[in-house]
Amino acid sequence: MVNPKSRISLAAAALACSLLPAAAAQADKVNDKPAPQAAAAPNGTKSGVMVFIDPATHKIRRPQPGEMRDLMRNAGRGAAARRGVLPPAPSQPIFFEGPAGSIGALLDEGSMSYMTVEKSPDGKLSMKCVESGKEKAARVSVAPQPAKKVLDEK
Amino acid sequence: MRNKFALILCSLLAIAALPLRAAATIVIMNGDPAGVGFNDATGAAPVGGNTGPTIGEQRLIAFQAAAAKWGATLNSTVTIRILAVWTALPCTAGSAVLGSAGATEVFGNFPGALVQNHWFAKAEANKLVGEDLDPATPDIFANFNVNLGQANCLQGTFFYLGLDNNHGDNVDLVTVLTHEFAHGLGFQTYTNGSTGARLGGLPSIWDDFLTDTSLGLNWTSMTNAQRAASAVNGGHLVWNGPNVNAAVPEVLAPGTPQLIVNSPSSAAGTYVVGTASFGPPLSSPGLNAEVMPVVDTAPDAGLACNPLSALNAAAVNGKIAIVDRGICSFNIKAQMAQSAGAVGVIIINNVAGTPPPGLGGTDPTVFIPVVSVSQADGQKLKAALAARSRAHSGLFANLGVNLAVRAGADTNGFALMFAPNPFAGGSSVSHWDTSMFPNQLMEPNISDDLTHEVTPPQDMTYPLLKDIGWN
Repeated sequence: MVNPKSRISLAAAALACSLLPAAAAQADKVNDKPAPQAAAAPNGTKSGVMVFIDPATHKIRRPQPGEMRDLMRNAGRGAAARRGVLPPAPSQPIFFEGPAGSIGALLDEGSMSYMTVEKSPDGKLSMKCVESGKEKAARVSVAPQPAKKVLDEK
Repeated sequence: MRNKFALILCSLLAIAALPLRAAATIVIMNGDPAGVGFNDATGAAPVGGNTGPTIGEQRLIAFQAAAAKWGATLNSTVTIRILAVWTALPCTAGSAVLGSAGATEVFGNFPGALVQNHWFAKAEANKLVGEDLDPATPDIFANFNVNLGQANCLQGTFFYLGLDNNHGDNVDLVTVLTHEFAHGLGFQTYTNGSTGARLGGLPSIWDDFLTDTSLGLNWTSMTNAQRAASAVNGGHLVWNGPNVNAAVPEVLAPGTPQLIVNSPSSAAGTYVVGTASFGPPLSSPGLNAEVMPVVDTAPDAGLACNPLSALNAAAVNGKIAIVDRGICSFNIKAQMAQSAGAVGVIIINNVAGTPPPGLGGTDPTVFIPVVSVSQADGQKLKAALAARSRAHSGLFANLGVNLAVRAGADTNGFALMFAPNPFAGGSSVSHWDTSMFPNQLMEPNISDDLTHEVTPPQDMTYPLLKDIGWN
C-alpha cells in the first residue's frame, strides 16, 4: 500500500481563484431578486465554474440551494457520485501529487468515451464512439425523430 | 471525503464484485442501488449462454464476460477495478447514448514508468508500478443506458445480453463493453486532438507512437499546431509501434480500394474512395476506362436521379460515369448510369471533408462497381473534365484494388489512424481508421461483423496495448 496522496488542484484552483471572485461579486448584486428558475451553463467551455443566470435580468445570480448538486447529477458520473461511490467528475482535470514521487490527474468528462447508436428508417443500427460529454449527449437528446437523413439514402 | 469513498468501494468489493482470475484480475464493481441496473430483479430467460435468472444478473454477467476477455489477455498483478452503473442517458426514438467509459485517473513519473513525463491510464500505471496508486478510486468508470429499448429510447432495440455475439438487430453489449474497456485501459490519447494541447503540458504514452508520415514526426515531438493539423491529416496519420507493425500483415487483408487517374497530368494520381455495399466488389487489376460526367442539372452538376438524356447516355456509354451525391439514393444513381451503358460510377460527395463516405444500401440489380470520392477530389476531377468533347474527356482511370497495400494500412505497412477532416472529437486519433478490413474492434464505428476477439489474427487491439506497455 502506498502512502495516501495529497491532492492538490493546480489548474482548476488557479482558474477558480481567478474567476470566482468576479462571479460572486456580480451574484451579490442580483441576489436581492431571487430568480424563479435557473439557466445553467456549467462547463461547456471547461471553465471550471458553474454560472447561474437570472432569466429576467440575464445577470449572474447566486445559485439556489441544491442547484449545484443538481447540475452535477446531470454529469455522466453524477449518478455514481451522488451515491457516494465515486467522486464527481471535475469540470476540468485536477492535477495532484501521487505516491512515490508520481504525478496524477483526475480526469474530467472530456476524457470519457461515449458510444452512441442511431437507427436508420430501415431499422439499421449505426454505433459510433464519439466525442465526450454533454455536447454530444445534448445533440442526441434533441435530435429529431427518424426524419434523420442517413448516408444510405443519398 | 476520500476515506468515505474508500470505505464504500471496499464494501462494494466485498458484496458485489466478482473477481475473474486470469492473467489479470478485473472486477466489476456494482455501483447500482437496489432494484436498478445490475440489481434489476426482473426475471429473464437464458440467452446466448447467459444464464443469469434476472435482467440485472445477466447485465453483470455480460460485463464480466467483457472483463474476462481483457483479464485473459492482459497481465497485471494489481486488480483492475471497473466501477459500473446503469443510469438514464439521453435518448430519442431513433438514437441513444449507449454508454460511456474511461479511465478515472492518469499517472506519470511513477516507479517503473516506461518513460518519464508521460501520462498512463491508471490501470496500466498500477500494473507497471506493481501496486494501486490510488486505492480509493476505481481504475475505470462505466455508465450505461438503463432505458435502452423502452419508449422514446430506441424502442424495441435492446442490449443483447447473450455471450455468443448472436445479437441480431440488437446491440451486442459484450462488444460495446470490450471496446469501451479498451479505452479505459489506455487505448486513447489524453492530448486534445483539436487544439493539440497536452494534458497538463505532458504527452500521453499514446503520443509516442502516433506518427504523421507527412512530417516524419510522432505527436510527442510536435508543436500544438502540428498536432492539430496532423489530427485531420487522414491517410498520413499512422501508428508506429513494433507490435502493431508486426500484426498488420497478419490481421489486415491485402487490397486497398482506390481510383488511379493516369491522365491528364493535371488530375493524375491516386484517390481515396469509399466503397459501396451494393454492386460488385472492386477487383485487381480493376476496371480501366475513360471517365465522363453526367451533366443533367445546372450548373454543371449531374445527379442522375432519372433516366439519362440521350446526350448524357451517349457520353457515359462504355465509360465510368461521374455523378453528384444528392436528392436520390446511391443505388438509383448507379441504376441510371448502368442503364445508359456506364461501366462504373464515381459519386462525388456534396459535403466537404475526408474520407469519402461509404455508400450504403442494397440493390442486387446493380452489376457495375460504384465508389465515392471526396468533394475536393471531385472538384479536381471535374476541373480536368471541363475540357472535353461530347464523347471523350481524355481522363483515363483505373478503378480497383491495390493488392500491395493492406486495407487500413499505408503504403509502408503502417496502420492508419482515424483522422477525418473535420476533426471528430472523441473519435479522431484514438481509433483505427475506418478503412480497415476485416473490421476492427477499435474503429470508431462498431460493425456488425465484429468478433469478441482482441488479438491477432482477428484484431489488433492487444498489439497496440502492448506497444504502450501492456503485456
